[in-house]
Amino acid sequence: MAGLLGIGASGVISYKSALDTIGHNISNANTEGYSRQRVDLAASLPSYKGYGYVGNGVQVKSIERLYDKFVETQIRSSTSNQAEFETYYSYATQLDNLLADENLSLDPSIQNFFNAVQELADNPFSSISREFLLAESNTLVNRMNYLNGQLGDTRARLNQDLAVSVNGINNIANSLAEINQSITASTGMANGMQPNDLLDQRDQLIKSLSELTNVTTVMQDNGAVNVFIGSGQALVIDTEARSLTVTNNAADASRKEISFITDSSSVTITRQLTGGRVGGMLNFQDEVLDASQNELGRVVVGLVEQFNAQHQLGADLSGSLGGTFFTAPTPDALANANNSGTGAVAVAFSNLPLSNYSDLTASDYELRSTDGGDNYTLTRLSDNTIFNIDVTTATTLAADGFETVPGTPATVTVDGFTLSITAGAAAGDRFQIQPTRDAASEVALAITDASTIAAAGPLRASEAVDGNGMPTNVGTAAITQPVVSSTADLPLSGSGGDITLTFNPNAGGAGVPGFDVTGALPAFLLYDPATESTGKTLTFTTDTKGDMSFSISGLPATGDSFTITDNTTPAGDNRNALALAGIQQSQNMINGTASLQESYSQMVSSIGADSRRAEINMQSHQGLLDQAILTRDSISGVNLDEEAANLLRYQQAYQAAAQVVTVANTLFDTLLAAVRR
Amino acid sequence: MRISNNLFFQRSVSAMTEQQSQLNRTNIQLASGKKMLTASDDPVSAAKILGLNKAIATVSQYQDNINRAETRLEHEETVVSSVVNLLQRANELAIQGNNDTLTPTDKQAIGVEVNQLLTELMGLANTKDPDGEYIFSGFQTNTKPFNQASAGTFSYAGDLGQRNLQISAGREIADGDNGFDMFVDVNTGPHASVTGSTATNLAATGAGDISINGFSIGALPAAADADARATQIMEAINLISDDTNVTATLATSSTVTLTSSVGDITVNSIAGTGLTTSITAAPQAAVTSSAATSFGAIADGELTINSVSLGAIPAAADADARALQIYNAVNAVSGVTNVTATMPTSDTVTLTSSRGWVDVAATSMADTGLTTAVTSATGKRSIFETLYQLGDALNNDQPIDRYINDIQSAMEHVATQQTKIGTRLNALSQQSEANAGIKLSYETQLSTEQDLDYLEAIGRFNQQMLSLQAAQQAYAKMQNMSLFNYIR
Repeated sequence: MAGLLGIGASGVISYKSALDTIGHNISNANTEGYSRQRVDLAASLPSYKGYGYVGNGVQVKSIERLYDKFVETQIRSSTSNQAEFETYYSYATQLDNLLADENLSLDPSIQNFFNAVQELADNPFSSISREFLLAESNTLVNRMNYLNGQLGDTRARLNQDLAVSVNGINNIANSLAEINQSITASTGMANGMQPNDLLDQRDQLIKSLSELTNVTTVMQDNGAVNVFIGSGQALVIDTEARSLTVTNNAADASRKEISFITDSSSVTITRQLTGGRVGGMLNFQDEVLDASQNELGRVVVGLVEQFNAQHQLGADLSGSLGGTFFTAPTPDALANANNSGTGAVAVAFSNLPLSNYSDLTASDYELRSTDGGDNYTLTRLSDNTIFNIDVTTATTLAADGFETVPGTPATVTVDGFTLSITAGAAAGDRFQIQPTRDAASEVALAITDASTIAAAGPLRASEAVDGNGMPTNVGTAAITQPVVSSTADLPLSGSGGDITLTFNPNAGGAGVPGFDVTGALPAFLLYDPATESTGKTLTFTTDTKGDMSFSISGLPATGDSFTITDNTTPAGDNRNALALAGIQQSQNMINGTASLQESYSQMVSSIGADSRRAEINMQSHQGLLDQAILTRDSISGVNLDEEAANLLRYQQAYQAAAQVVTVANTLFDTLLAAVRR
Repeated sequence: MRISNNLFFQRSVSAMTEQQSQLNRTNIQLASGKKMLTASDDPVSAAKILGLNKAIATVSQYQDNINRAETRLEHEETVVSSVVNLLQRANELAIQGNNDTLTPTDKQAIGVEVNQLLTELMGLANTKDPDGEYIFSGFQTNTKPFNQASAGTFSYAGDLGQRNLQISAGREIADGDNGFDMFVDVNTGPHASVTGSTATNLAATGAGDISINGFSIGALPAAADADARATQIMEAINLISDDTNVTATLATSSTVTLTSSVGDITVNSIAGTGLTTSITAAPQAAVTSSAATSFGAIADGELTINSVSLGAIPAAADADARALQIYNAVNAVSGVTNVTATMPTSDTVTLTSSRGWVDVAATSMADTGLTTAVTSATGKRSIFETLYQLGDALNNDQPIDRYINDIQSAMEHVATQQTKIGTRLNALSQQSEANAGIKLSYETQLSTEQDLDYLEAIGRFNQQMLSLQAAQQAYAKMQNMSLFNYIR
């Protein structure tokens, strides 16, 4: 009877536990990361009687956590991948929307700006069209500044986000260390029984960590788990957590690095970190943010430098040569914080010809002193092309791909910019060259007075006339208006005065016709009316007289002359405005393959493609993650209907076991009554 | 498969959220009429839209430029056609005035009208556009181009500039003409003449020694005297007149006059052939003494300046003496001829007319030691001066036949300019049509890229509403399904 009581009691106790567990499951039906638990019941060891073994009831063998280690690992890696691409996508799509927006992007501003230049070409004397161009230029510059500001904000947000994520990693690492401690203690106390809920909590923490970066784990015999990030850098070992910190990049303080700090040193692991939010941010920074800021800068530099150069070849309303239209940006050369030498590097965009701007890339560069002496390597970081430079050896662009001019300082010209290298760098000293990074923020409008917009050509050609402006030429020869390509010797009044060309049948010697030249060199220009009357393009000595070119056609008579003078009152002259407007269509970007707007469009579509790729990856990893979660939930998730059924089942069993106790009681009573009688 | 309640809940909610967001998206699409809401919807298309918008804006700007150029050229065309009409009237008046039966008073009446035409022409040439800028002053649009400095003297204050507007990628067109080309640089006067000198026994010439407009007249045998040489020359020139467009006639026995039916005449390599050419600009003509040492007398009427005889001139010992004689004789009658003489060198006399033209006619120049070559294929005079001189000649009863030619030449010149304007207007309207076509094609492409297909979108909208409703209802129903409901 005692046995029966015991058996009944064991049922009551066991089913109470089972009901407790079901209650625990129901209560945690919506707890994230909770794995449902199941009571493992087993028959107690039977007692041997002479006739055999008599059962001793039931006992709770263990409370088991329904859990699949493989699925959990899959969830972690999918979470990492999904978080990486989601972060990348959310950053990239924001840039994409900003830079491609019909209203916000740079493209409509460039368009409106050049339309205003065309308006100026239509009405060069009108103050309305001049003021209009000034207003549109202001808008353009503001838009450039604004876009760069937005990129800067994105960078600041990214850096902040990075710091928050690193902080999150540290917090999780500490929590993991603590929970490892609890788990090893609990496991020890419970004779190896698993503390299920603590394990769930730890898995949940690791999952949170995997959202931030890729994680690998190694289980220890004592129940603790060792956590590694990056390419195997230990974050948590047993009950010890290590701490990460965010530091400035030595080459470029605007970039952040992630390092382990120990008492004695810090080890940078930024490059090793992949996956998760941190991986997404780092990839976005490298692939999109830096590239697009450089690309934007390149468009800005291309526009500003071309426009300035052409503007300076024109004449304003008072006939003076044009000044700078935009304040041009300057490229940056950043000395590495770890440099030990005294060397210095200055950088500027190469001068004319204009086509040099087409060589500009959107890449950053690293200049490194190889021996602390005359030898440097310049690395184009976008494709890792290396230029080996010896600053004492002259090289040329055409033959060597870069031009070195020895001297103090030595200059090196490559890809549209020129480095001036002051000696003194120690071996291994580095300089980060960012030709176009900040260009869009540095650009400003230099011109303020609309009448100083140089819409006119600086020179004007005319036929010989008398004091009344009446023609004195006899022949039919005509001259076109000169086109200048440099500011050498301009204005003419400041260097030699007007230029006169007089036809002389013997200008180049007996029987060799041409024009005698005064005011410029060479002393005569050959022109044979018999064969060249359809038009011949003439130029003076290179690097003089604005490098002008003009064409003479027709049949001049002996003594017929043409005069080229400064264009002193060029009211209705729009020649330079037309040339300025022509910049819009000229293919002067990206090695002469794209116009300004085309190069901008290329950048937009490249960001678009990046963000599209991230979106597709994000979706596919989301799908994998969903699948993994579905699998996990089908194993570990709580189904209330199932729990309800189990509740009924165990309730009935409990009631039955209680009934056994009652029966045992009754049996005992029966026995007592029998004895009393 | 087991489904946990938590997952069921999350899945249902996220499905509904997703459907709601799609519905919202379609809703915005319908409201905005655009297929693409953000660039990331379709980055490639977004870049394309940027490009198309840019191309459309650029073409629109070209169309604006065309409209502007058309307005200006039409304005100019109106002015120029008035000029043509005015010159036609001047031509009529000149022909009317070139009649010996008219009295000086009649001629003066005509002269008054010519003067009025001149005033009108000045007004037309100083026309301003609606922006207040002069249309015929080249680049100097704020400078009045034409002024009359003093009677008969006109000045041009503009320049040779011609403003171009861009009407398509790589194509520019002038939106006007400068006054120099239009009114000033106008050909006047007759063609070139070649006069034989007095030398005898002229040497033979080789093929190519003498050429007209680049065509050799072939080899010439030696000639006994100037007359024989002149005849040789005339025949040789006429042999190849089909090539050169130049015909020759004997003006005097020793002078060959060359007339071109098309354009100018260039004569080269005359030296050594006993021929001298001199092509100089009006209003100047050169009279050059030859190297002969003895000069015969010239009878009254043999040498005339603008149809006025210089009188009889005695024989002279050398070239210098003859030049001085001519100098004095010309100046003696300058009150009648309006021609004055100067001596730039001791054996050269230069004649200058205050009326802008000198016509030296000499007959029987043999033995006088004079070679005259008057004229130029490309004399230039402004239309204002021509009109002024016509009026002046009429008022002073001077011969005016020269001006009939000059006015016709001016008419042709302006008509040519008018044709150029017409050609430009034509080109503009063609380019405008081409641009409109290009723009339409861009706009069609843009519409394909960004505009919403409403039929499809409305269908989608209805479908999405239906699915959202279904999802909501299904969720509400499923939520009630729980075994706990039956445990009482």
